[in-house]
Amino acid sequence: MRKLTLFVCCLLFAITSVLAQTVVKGRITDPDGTPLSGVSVKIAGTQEGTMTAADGTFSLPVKDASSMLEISYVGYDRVNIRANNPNLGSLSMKQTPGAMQEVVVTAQGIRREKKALGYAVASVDKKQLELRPEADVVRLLQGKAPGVDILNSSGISGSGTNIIIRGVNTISGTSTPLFVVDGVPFDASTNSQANFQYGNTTSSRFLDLDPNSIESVNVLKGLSATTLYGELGRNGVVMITTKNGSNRRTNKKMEISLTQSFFVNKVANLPEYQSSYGGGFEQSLGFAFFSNWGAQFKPAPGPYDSVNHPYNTAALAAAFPQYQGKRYAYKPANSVERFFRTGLIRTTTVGLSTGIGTNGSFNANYTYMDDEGFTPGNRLIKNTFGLGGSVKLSNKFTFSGTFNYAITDFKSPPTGTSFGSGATASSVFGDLIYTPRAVDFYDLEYQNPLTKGSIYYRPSNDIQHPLWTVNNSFTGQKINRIFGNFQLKYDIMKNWNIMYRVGYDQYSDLNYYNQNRGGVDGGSDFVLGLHRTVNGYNTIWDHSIITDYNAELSRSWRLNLTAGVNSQERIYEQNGQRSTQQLVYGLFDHDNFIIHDNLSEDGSRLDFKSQFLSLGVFAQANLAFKEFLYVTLGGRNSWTSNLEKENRSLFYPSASVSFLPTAAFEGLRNSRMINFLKLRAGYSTSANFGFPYATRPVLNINTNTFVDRAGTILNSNSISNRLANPNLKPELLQEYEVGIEGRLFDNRFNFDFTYYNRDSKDQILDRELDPSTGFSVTSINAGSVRNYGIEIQAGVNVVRTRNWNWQVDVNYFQNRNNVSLPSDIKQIVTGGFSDEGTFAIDGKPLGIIQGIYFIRDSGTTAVNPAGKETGAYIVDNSGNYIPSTQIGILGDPNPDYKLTAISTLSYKGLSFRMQWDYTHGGDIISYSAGSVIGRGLSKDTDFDRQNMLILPGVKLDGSTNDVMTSASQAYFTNLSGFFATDVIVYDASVIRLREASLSYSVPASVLSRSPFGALSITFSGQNLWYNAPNTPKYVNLDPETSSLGVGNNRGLEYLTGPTSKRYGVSVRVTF
Amino acid sequence: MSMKKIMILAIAVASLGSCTKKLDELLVNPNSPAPELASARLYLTQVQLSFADVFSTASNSGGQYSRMYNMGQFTYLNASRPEGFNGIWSSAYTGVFKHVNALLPIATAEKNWVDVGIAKTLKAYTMMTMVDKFGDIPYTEANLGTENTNPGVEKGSDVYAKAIALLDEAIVAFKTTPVNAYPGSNDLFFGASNATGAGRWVTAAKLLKLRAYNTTRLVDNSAASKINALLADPEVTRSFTDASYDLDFKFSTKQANPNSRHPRYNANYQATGNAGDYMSTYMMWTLVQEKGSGSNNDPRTRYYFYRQTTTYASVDVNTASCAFSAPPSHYPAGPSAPYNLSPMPYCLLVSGYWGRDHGDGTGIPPDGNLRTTVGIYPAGGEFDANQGTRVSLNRGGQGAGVHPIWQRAFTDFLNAEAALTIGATGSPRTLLESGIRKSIAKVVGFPSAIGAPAPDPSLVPDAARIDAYVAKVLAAYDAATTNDQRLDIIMKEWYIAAWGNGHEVYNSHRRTGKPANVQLTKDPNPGSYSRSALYPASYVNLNQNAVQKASVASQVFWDTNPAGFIK
Repeated sequence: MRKLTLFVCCLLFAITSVLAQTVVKGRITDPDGTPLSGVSVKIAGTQEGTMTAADGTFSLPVKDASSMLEISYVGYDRVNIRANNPNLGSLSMKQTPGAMQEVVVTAQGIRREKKALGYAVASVDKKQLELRPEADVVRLLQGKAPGVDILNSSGISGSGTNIIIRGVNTISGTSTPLFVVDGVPFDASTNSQANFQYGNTTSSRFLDLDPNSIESVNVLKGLSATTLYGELGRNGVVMITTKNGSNRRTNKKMEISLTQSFFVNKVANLPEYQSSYGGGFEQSLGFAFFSNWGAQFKPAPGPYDSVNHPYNTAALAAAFPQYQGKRYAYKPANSVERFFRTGLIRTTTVGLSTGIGTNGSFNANYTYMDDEGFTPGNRLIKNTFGLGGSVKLSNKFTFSGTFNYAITDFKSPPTGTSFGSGATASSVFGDLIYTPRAVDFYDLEYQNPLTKGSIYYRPSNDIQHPLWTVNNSFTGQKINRIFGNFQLKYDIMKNWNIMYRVGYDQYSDLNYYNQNRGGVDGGSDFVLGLHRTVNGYNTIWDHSIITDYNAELSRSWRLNLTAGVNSQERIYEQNGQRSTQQLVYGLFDHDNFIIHDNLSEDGSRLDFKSQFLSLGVFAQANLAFKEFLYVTLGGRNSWTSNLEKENRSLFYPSASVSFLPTAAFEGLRNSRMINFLKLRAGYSTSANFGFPYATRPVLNINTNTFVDRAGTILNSNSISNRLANPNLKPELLQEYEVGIEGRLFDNRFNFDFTYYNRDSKDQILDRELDPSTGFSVTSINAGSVRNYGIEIQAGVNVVRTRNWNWQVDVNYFQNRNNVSLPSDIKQIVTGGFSDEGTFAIDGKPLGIIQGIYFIRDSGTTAVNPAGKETGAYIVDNSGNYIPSTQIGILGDPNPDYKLTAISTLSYKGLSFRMQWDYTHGGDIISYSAGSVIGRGLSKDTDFDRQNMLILPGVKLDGSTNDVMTSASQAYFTNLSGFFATDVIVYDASVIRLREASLSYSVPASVLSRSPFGALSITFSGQNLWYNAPNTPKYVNLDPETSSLGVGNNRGLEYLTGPTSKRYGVSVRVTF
Repeated sequence: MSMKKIMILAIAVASLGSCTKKLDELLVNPNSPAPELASARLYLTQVQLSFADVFSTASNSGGQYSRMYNMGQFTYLNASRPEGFNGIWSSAYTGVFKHVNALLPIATAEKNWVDVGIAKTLKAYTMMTMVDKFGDIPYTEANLGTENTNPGVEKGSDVYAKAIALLDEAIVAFKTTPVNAYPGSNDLFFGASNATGAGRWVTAAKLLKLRAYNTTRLVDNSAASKINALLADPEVTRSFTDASYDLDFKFSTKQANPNSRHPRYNANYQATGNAGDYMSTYMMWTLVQEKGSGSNNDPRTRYYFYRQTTTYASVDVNTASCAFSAPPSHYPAGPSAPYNLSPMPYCLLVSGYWGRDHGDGTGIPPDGNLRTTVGIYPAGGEFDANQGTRVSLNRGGQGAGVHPIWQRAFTDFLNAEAALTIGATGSPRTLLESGIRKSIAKVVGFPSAIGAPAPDPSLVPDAARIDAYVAKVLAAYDAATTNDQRLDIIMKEWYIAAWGNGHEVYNSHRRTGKPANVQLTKDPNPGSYSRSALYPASYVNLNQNAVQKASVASQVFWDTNPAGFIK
């Protein structure tokens, strides 16, 4: 290295002395002080010139000191300066108004002009992320980047979030994109300790990022954009640049900013309940039933005004003497509405940024966020602290780094799934929304004062009181996380540098599930008290050496070469203990529990380790012809530890091209109609190496599996039900994309259109096996998934005057996907259960929903994939529909398209912004809807229940059904979804006012004599209104939730809980 | 330029070289050992636990159709959903079969012949149970892993023949000496710590052969001679007088980590004080009222059922709505007040025997603390001493129950059936009495056998009480005028004695149509009786060669009775 440097220096020296010219040096930056590389510096009227290096510097031999230098860079105003000074110092270039040719950060942190990219990149800047009432940066991206599909698991503050880019392209692998923060990988896992049936209260680890300290988010969607990241980038890359990592050089003096926000957090969707009938069946007084088909309330013609007080029983005489002999009013109550609270969200951000001379910068910020959920017991507190800086040393070295520390404390009551008839496990929502109308649980103590156990309206005491759950059952996670990077760059020559970068991301995740003894749901482990603690340790080490070389090959051709090696190691290790049978009520300490075990609620192991290593060598060449043709060729070879030696290496190339007619053709260059036009095309590949340890068979060790009558402890061995496959090969993903972007009519209209097609062939898929094979699952290479779609971004600057500006931007995204499976695989369960879940089926979209349906008189499938029902339901002799014996396709949960419109209207310092999102199509099974309708709760069932009903359909003999049934029977047995689910499949189309904000910035002229640099106030809200037109009217179903949690699947809703609505005010000042 | 390339290459090669070794190391799963380290004895535990699971599901579903347990769906179809059988399918194939197959070569090499025999015996019983349940099943093509991922079915009769052959192999294995090491406490049936244990297994294997011949007697002309031969075999006859030959899977009182209790105890003696299951109204009526109530009821009643309430003070429209409506019109007419006595039970029985009618699929009322639940035999629950209090987690025998796979009383009833129907040796009447007495003796002796608290002596049936019951049954037998009536009495007594083994009574119900006076479903149109189960969802949905049956009316190979034979 040193020899090389010496050699280069000598060479330079030699050239310089021979020609005896004056060398003019300078440095080009943008107005923010960020160095611009690749800027053309030419001596006017000659062919001589150069380009700036990555740090923005140039040096050019000039014969005549009176020569003019022409400095040009697309997207920036041209600068002319006389070369009369050997050191021109720092020159800043101004961006051309309306220019789109910004520099974007691409894979591996390479900054490139956007016009040179042969693929689509969606950029979201800080203005769209900060001052929002949401702690989860991914949720803030909803609708802002076409191609990116985001789904909440519920409205619980801090609950997991699903992000999928350009569709799910794997049947059984993971679809979470790679997160890269300030150039290095960042773990975005959702470390659930039990399957979705036990709830979705596990955060997705991008929650540890602070939206207020983010400078920008670039989403690299296609493989062309992500090849350099290798197989880890196959699902897209979310590149986040923090304010600390942006290394924005500022020549300004120190700036301190202070932001304070207050928001309220409310439940967004509850059913509208009817108030005519109470609990029971067949209009009888059945106060203690789950269902609400009971007697009418008084006044007339209701026959009852009270019932026996539920605590007026001999068994509770000692606990509740006050209720003995008492009656309980039989009238509608509104306890469900009362259950939810208005949470307060407080955010304080302090930021500091300063330049250090002209060669360094320093940034720091701190954010405190306290997000109280609308559900009692739910709260998220985050402290995030970050530092970043960069300094250029005199010896051509540049050192930069970031350091971030995040403490996240999240807690929530458990949210186990429920099928509308008692919760699978302890769950705050499991029985809540179908609380019978006469039950006012605020009138009914939730705890037996003697036993501390849950007590509720049913004499058999078999439903857990929601308030008992809130006060006695706690899940949560406490995260301590350090992440960041250090990098050292050395400028070998002015246009050649080499960089070493190390990225680190380490966190500890203390995950707990605590429940006092005395519960009801979930079996004796829950009922007797549960204390489960798991410590997860995640480590990512990422080392890269990257060299970057720029050359002007001729007057017309420029070349940029990037090459590097990268190693990434991910280690996840956890250990945990689960204790049951609490001794003394109230204390959660393993010592206070009798039974200790290391299996989770779902039987999975709490102690395990998983380690993965990926090595890569990559290179990329960018060739530019004049200012209008750009060709990029790249490739990477990866070696990973997941597959056996002979299969672990794969090379995958990529190529893309960008062509700018507006720069190429004279006639278009100064057109006022077409200001900018770019055509692009790319073809690229990537790989998937599966997950660790799938190639070798293992033996399951089950200690302590049985104790015989003599007290002898028996252990057992079992052969894993996963059939190992040593011949597993990496899968190759191939994608092409084409696009066109441009600006028209004096830059008033802009558009960006992309079509992509991605094939993921020979998938590494988890094939479920018929147990009669001896195994239940194996990994094989088979099947493919094709995703193809359209992404459109368009904007119109409707009004553009001195004081008024109105910009409307529209994002459109549609993705279609299609599964092919070899003929010996019937179908693969991808989510949910084998009798009701999401599936991969040959020729069908991935994740299609199958389940039990009521049979119809033509065909056996209830709903064809197009969602059109065929035939009438068949009714049996008792007047009921007949459930199918096999599962059939019930719906396709994949939306047809997503449309977002963002309007920004500003007048002087006032700005009003709205974001409307519309999702068209996609189906959802909703047990929330099924249970409130099937149990007679929502206003949808507020009809005269004395009348008998005839269900539409035909009888077994084919004649029109005329068998009368009661309302209870018609709804509970047939329309609830309890016996067949096709009746509770809904079209999930939804329109939503995602965001609205009104902000006012005090004009600089007013502030000039104050200590403030800037002062603004913003009123904003999220999820302010929505409507899902094809769901039952009074259920108020918000289909934008999923009980399946974070993963590839959607479309199943098992009382997962409502969504949240948030609004409030923020004030920002800078000094 | 070239220098740069060399440099990059050098860095790449250096870093890759050092990492290759690490890539190899990371292929090894640090969480589980390699299969070569398996122990046959530890596989044996897995086989037995999976076997218990197979039996539980078979017994639960079969018991529901034949009214031993409550069937809580209006139709047989809804009570035998394909998804309900995923568990038994995987317990049989990935639990029993897979681990027996893996165990045999190791145990053979180790000369642990008793382990080999137990594995083969349990595999054979599982094979027959799967055929009884589903009809044709994958067998030869099953358990081949990657070699065949879509196993096709094989005729049930062939699988039965292979199971009987396997029992013969097991008998040979049990008699092979020398044995390296006996399973000892790893044997959850007999605790076969020595040759005595091996001898018990020889008898068990032969009794299972006897059972197989009787089960398939409708399609086997030589059944009588085969049965007669076995009944004369001294290795079989020794079990007639010695209850220690009863093939019972034994649970213990351990509540958690690991839960080693009887599954019905777990389901019904819950910490919440609620019983999870309903008892079948018909089954309770059979013991409590059919032969007369009060002191005339079956001496086993207090052992079989535990009442959480002994009165009907809690009956109201919420808790027992059936009490407020008339019996379904398709039930035979009879006296109905105060509690339906005959000819067919409906809704409430006397003295708090709180159950649920056959095929009652209406909503579940809040009665978990009122339902009658399983007693001390065979689930290890509470002895009913008129306590009338709620269940709790650790009551009674604390779950130290048994799965009664085959008991000596069953042999007597089998013999009586075979004697009456296909002319096997023996007097049906004598065998009937012997079976009843052996069953009662087993039940009455059960609390002390499992170390449970001794019941109140005044409530333990004495000899006079037992004699009275036996006399009542024999009087009815003597009064019977046809063999069909006599068979009905024999099968009814077997039905009662088999409490806890719903699979056996399901088989007899399909084979003989007895007991005949079963309670009808609540719905007049329950669809066909479940003559076999629909194939499990995990089989039909994942196996390319799977063809689901048209309906639950499909009959297994040994059931040649006409369609609609039972309701």
